[in-house]
Parts: sequence; structure tokens; C-alpha cells
Amino acid sequence: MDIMGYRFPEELLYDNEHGWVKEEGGVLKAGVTDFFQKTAGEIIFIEMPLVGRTVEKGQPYSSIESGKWVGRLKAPVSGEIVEVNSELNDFPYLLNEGPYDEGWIIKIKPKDESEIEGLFKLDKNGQEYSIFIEEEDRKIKEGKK
Amino acid sequence: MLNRQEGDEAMNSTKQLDEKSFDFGFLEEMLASVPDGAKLKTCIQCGSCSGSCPAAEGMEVTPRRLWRLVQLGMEKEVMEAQNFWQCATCALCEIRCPRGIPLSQIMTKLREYYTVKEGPLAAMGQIMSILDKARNITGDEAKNRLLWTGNLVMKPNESLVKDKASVVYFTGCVSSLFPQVYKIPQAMTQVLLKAGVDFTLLGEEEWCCGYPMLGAGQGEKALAEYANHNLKAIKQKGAKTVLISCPTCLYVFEKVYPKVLGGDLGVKVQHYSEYLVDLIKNGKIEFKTDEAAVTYHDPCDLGRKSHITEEPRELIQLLPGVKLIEMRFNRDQSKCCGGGGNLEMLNAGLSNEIAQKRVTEALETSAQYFLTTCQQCKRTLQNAARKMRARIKVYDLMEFIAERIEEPGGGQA
Repeated sequence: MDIMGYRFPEELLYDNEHGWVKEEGGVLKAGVTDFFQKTAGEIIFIEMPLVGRTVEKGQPYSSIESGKWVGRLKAPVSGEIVEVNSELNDFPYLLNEGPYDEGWIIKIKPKDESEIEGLFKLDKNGQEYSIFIEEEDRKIKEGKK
Repeated sequence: MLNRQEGDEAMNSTKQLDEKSFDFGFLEEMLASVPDGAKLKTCIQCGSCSGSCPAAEGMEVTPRRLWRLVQLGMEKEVMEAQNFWQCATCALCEIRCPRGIPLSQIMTKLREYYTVKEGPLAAMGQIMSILDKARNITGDEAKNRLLWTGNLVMKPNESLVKDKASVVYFTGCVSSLFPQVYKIPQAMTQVLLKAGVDFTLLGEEEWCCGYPMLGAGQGEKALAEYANHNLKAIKQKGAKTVLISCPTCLYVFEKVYPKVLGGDLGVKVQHYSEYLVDLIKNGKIEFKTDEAAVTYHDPCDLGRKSHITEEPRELIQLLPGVKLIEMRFNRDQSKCCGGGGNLEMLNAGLSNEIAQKRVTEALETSAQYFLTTCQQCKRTLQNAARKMRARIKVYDLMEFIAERIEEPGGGQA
């Protein structure tokens, strides 16, 4: 799906912190969207979290820095981090080059399956997600975010 | 903004100017604003300031021309020049000025004067608004000041935020909130835990030291609220020593806070490079031998402004197998990294150009590691090295030390 020139694969689930998740063998693979990486610019550093840490939905699990911005990555669901993409330690730009594949960030074992139901599914509430992205884009352009 | 040709015309074609162009009240106000400011009258226009200034190439009116305009009381032209916003406040001009004029301090005063007359510069208004709301430079919630501790592995009896401790480690906004330099506080706490130091962080209670207010032309008095808050939080911990890894915070604590609070702070303030030498000499920390050639960049706020140049070098020499190769410009003659004076916020391109020049000087030494003792120098130099594809590793000395500890104990980054 294309929203304002940003790419959002339809098989993924999205949260309202510009993250995506994909169910993969009982765990959730997570990363950030094309909108996130384009808005942030060239990523120069990501502090990868330790495997084994527990995270809460909506709370920061990592920090990220681009040439023009610094921010937090927030957990799409609560659970335990079971794997991290250590390639990003040395090659953070993978997040720009392939936010949905080589730039994945963590894998989470979810604590509460019902949190997954609360995520955006493009074939179900894609219109609602489009409105959300358009609103976020507007806020950024107006300097409100 | 006045360009160079117009600046020349303004100075050389005085026949076109009438007496209203010269406001000596403006001149006198500037001279009275800083100690020894009156020395500006003795400026001989030698150009040492312009020749030393790392940002001069990005200025339409050079520092030398600016001082002449100030000498002539040409307020309008000075305000239009606006080059004081390009100043990285590195103070190399001040060190090299043959007349001993406090040029860097007058530059900062010009920012204040501009702000009073014209209102805050847009980008500066933005940072002030963020500081006012969040008390840090990114606008993060206070709890995010501790995100860098998330990856530390602690022993059950170890704690980083305690009610009471003899030492407070004042982490600073950049080290607390910019992940590119998280390794500095992580390394610091690792070393302090290893050495058995009774220390604490202020955690959510820590506020920005207030420096960005100075850089934004708000004047020293604007820091009073920040000074009061931070000192109160430190004293509530019962601490006798404040340990600082950020040279700018150190400068503000040592040089600005006593002025705005009206006297001695009642606590000893030290940069880690001063504090660690004794710990190492007393055998509290031991190192493995690891051959490496390093060069060292003196941060402006630590070297020129706080006169701490030998302690970092002594620390480097205490590391077995490490060889220090000096750069051409070192100690009080060190060139700027481009990251000071809010310049990165105001003109990121110019900041990066300045940093690239410094990286080039480091490469001349053929060192493997480019060490510094400042999180902002590390960020700007590392980003420049990355852009240049330079094969040199940029480290803060604190990280370099932590990697060489013989048997890491306590929290590990």
C-alpha cells in the first residue's frame, strides 16, 4: 500500500508509533516503517537492546539517532526481547535501505496476544491508517512533531 | 546580512556615513559587558582572530571586520552581520589575540545584545521552548534520562540512583539522551563500580546545566533556575563531589553557576580526567596491555576554558601499551570540533566542515584511535570521520579506558 509516497507492505501490522510487526513462528519480528526512516533521515546509530529484556507496549526499548534527529523506539506490544538484529550495530543504514527486511530491529515474544489485535491491519482498517499517516505528515511539516 | 564587500564599503567609505552611523554608546555597552572588554579599543586589526576562527570561512563578515565595526560603534552593521551566531565559542581567537582581548566573551555578549534588540533567533527560540518545557535539550520525558542504563548488567547489590552518596555523576543531556554517546556514561559507571566509588546519578532529577540558554543569547542570569535546581538535587544526595564527563557542563558549573548563585557552590566539581588519575594510581583499577597508537583532541571547554590539558594525557599514559601521538594543534592551541556554541543547531553544514578539518589533522598522525574527552566532540568528529570514510576510530577516553580494564567487574556496558 502506498500512502503519500511511503510504502507499507500489506502483510504487516502497524502501530501508532511508526513501527511494524510480523508474526513469525510464535514471535513478532518488529521494525520501523518507511515513513519513519524517511522522516528521520540517514540513521547513524541505534542502541540495540539486550536480549532477555522485557518491554511494555508503547514504552521505549531503544534509542536511535540520525544526522538531524534523536528519538526513541517504542515497543509495539509487551513481551520479552528474544533476538536483536546485531547487523544494525555496524550498519545502521540498513534501516534506511530496507526498513521491512534487512533493517528489522528486534523479535519479541508477546506477553498478551490481545495487544496484537489492537494493531492496524491494512486490509481491515487501512483507511484509518492512511488518515493517521496523513495527519502525522502534516504535523511534521508544520513543525508540531 | 552584510557581505564582505559591503563591510569593506562601510569601513572604507566613511564619507558616505553621517555621525548617526556611529553609536559610541553601543561600543561602551559592549566594552563594559565583560571583564577586560575595554581592551577591544586596542585592537590593531591584525587579523589573528579571523585566521584562527574555524568558522570564518562560513561568515560573510569576518571576525576582524566585526571588531572594527564594533570599535566604530556601528550597531546597525554589527547586528546585520550576525556572524556572532556562527561562532563556535571555541575561544582560539581569544588565546591568539596579541592584545589579550576577550573576543569569545564579547561574541557571546553580542548574541545577548541581538536577542534583546531583535528577539530570539528562530532556532534559538525553539531550543529555549524545549528547555523550558522538558528541562533537557531533546524534549524527552525526564525518565528517558536513564534509558542509557537499560543495557547495563548490574550485580544485585549495585544501584545507580541512590538516596545518598559521596559523589554525584552529573551525566549531562547529550550523554543521557543521544545514543551515539551512551557508551560514555555506560563506561563511566562501569569504571566507578569497579573502583568501588560511592556514587549516584541524579536520574530524573537532573536538569540541563543551562548552557544552551547562554548560546541562545539569554545571558548568565537565565541559568539561575537551572543552577538552583541542580545544586539542590546534588546537595540532597549529601554529595561532596560532582563528577562530570561533559566539558561544557563543567565550564557552566565552575565558571557560571558561582556567578549566578553568588558564591562558592559548596561542592567540589571535577571532570573525570581529573578524578580518575588518583583512582588508577591508587591501584583501584588495573588494565590489560593492549598496543594502540592514539591521538588526543582537547575539547575547547576543557582545555582552553578550564585549563585541563595534562590530566587526560596522564590518563592515556597510564594505559599499558598505548602510545600517544600529538596533533599539530594541541592543548590550548587545539582546533575546534565544530560542535560548540549551539553551532550544530544553527548551521550543521558548517559544523561538519569544521569537524572534517580536525579529522584530517588527526589522520596526519597515523593514529588508530582519535580520542577526546567530550561527548559533543565525539559526535561531531565521529560523524565527520564517517562522512569522510576516514579509517580512524573516534572514542571518548572514558570508553577507551573501560575497554582496557583487566577484569571488568560490576556493571558492564
